Amino acid sequence: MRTYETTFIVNPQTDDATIDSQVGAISKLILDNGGNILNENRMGTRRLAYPIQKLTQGYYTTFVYEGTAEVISILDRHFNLGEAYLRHLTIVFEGDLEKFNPSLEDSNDQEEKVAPVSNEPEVKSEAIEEAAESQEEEKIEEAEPETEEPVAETSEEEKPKTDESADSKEFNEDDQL
Amino acid sequence: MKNLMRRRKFCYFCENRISILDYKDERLLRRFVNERGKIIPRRISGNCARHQRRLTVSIKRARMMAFMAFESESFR
Ligand SMILES: [Zn+2]
Repeated sequence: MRTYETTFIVNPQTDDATIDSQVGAISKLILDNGGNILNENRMGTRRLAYPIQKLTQGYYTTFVYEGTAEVISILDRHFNLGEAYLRHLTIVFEGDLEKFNPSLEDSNDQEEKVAPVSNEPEVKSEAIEEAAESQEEEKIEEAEPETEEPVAETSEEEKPKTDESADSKEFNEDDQL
Repeated sequence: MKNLMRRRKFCYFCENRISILDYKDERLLRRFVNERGKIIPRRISGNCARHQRRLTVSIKRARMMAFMAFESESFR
């Protein structure tokens, strides 16, 4: 079991019930496959930096959950069915897990908890992150001495397949640890 | 805002003790791309190698998820 973070975009122009069922389908898949949801953050409707399927806005949701690699591939398959999900991305969760710890009393403002992860000094998880990162870093280092635009990950932006391949690459690297 | 970034001597993330970068934090990430959406090299931003690497990963994720635009001149 690892902790993952999955963010996806659905069409905001459909009715609330449709959005709810599209978001609900994801949480159900996570739960039905032995996952444990730590946080659901509906960022809601945002402007897209570039149009996707002719839409200029997207409805964003992020789930943080514990699960197996199998859950990820099940989710991926679901995301790739039809055109309901404009984009999706799953990464190994990198933020502060304590934010989602139910034993901490302040769970009321969950909605805003996911985003500002970056501002807090992180002692504990830094070490872990460092370890997890080292492999990845070596590869990137070779690939991009100038630290600019190393091609592989994002260059084919319009193909939905790109997300998928980027995802699985990340997980493979990670699973080797 | 972008002018602030010119010739910084120190890594923004080290200075601000930011160890974890969130690709969804578009407001932070956009400080590190130029007007065309291209990632500012670290010789200009002053970021350390480690944080620049994390930054490029985050910016690429942000582009994939339409939080940020791809480089505007890279389209053919
Ligand atoms: Zn740094």
